[in-house]
Amino acid sequence: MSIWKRVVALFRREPSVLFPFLIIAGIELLALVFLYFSPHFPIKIIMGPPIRRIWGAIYMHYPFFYELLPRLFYYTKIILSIFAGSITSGMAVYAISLAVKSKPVDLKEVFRHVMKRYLSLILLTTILFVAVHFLMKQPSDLLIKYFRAGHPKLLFLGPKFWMVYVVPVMNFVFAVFFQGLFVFSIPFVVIKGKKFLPALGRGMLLFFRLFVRTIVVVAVPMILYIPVTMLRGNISFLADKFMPEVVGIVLLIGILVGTLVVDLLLTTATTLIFLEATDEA
Amino acid sequence: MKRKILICLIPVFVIALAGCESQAFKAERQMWKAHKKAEAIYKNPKGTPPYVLKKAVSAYEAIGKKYPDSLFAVQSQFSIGHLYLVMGDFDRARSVYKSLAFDCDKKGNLCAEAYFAIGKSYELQGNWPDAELIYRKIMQEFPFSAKSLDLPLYMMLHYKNAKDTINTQRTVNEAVGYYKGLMSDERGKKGADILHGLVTRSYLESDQWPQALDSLEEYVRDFPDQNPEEAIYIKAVIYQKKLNDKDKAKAELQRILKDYPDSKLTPHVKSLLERI
Repeated sequence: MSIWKRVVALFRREPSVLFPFLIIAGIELLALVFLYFSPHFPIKIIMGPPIRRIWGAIYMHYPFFYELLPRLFYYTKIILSIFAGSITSGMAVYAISLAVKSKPVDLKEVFRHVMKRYLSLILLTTILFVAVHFLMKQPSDLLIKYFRAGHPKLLFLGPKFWMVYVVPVMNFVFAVFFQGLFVFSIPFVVIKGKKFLPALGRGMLLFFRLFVRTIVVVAVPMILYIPVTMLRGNISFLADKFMPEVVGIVLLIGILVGTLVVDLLLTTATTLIFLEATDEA
Repeated sequence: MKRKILICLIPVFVIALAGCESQAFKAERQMWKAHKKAEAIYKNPKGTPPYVLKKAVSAYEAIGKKYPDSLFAVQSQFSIGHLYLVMGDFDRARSVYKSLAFDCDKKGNLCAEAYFAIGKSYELQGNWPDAELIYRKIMQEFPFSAKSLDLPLYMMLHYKNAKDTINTQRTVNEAVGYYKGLMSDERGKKGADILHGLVTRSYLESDQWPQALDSLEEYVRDFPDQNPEEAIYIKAVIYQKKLNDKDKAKAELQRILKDYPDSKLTPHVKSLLERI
């Protein structure tokens, strides 16, 4: 049976595995609401001073605030992913493993089990975040520096071709690679009870052993995120064309697609592969 | 039960937050929408149908009515004037600006801006004499407004661009006299360095190099705490580029290195010295 059919079958049989994703999506949504109302009372009292100090008072005004909102949400999402997302990812992985073994999924028990491995999960999520959000940007940053230094072409191709076609593809490939590289480490921590470093090492080994399959399973859900990336890339245009508030809608779509579709499918599918590969099924 | 209440409270909380939007933020949003309507007119004023102009004007007028005592009301009035101006309806534009000028007795900068807009409308119409009259009125009535400080130079540049040497010289003299007059005023003493800078600029813009050099030297003498080495650097550049006197240029640059060794300009000075 194809992996995606098994994923859907699992959701039907045990809908409670969806719950960790709903929790993190809910937390992200609340964070977005909180940030969205930053220029207004009473949130202004908390958010006003740092925004004014770091970015300038103009960003507390319409429409400039909406230029800042994606960046504010990006930083908030990093913190949420590390401190809350690590728990919900661990919960999801453990809940899936229980569901596959036809054991009852008690979310309170799952939560307690995951919290015992909280530190390892935080470290893993931090590494994944650094890899995906900083390392993968390095090639495009290098390209920008190369062309800004005055070089007209690289390998017979001009800057426009590199920046418009090559860099987005390269970013996607890097994102898939790094996601795949660390994707089995969380199951090693949560299901196998490994400590941080052994989990990291064994997760990477498993990734390379199941390279093609993992890459495909990671890439398919991430392809679904491409339209969101395109929307976010054109966020200024959309804000100008329609209304600056559209930024909030784009970020909301990002939460819905990113957390409730991409993360859900990716985590479930890779956990099923992990269970198969480690004879846990 | 408690959980259900909590879940119900979340949307209430969100709606409550949305309701706390400040008046200023609402006005800014309305202003943005009005600007959007006006954008098409600025892009193609000749091809703008009357109903589009009417819509944009109504959008601005609505802001004036909704927030009458705010700066948004004033900004929206200016925007209406600018719309008429870009459409070439100078009389209507002026009548909007005049209503602003009548209603601004306490805010010097705002009055000056309103009068400047009236002057600009004459200028765009090709009526420089009336424009100049208005500009002079601003200089007399609102001498310490930001606009009035720009205007002497603005008028001088008008004549310079028209290659009218007699009037250029006349307006340079007037500008220098005006700025020096402001410097002697009690209110002008705080910004004396800025006013002196404007005197220097008047000479520089009118290519009067000896007077500019003297003025820069006075600046070095009178304002030792306001980065005087920058004035000396300008002197060196004048000697080098305008008067072709390399020795004097070098002497000025050496002076910076000797008298202001910690200046931020030092690398530029050294580089210029090498090139001369």
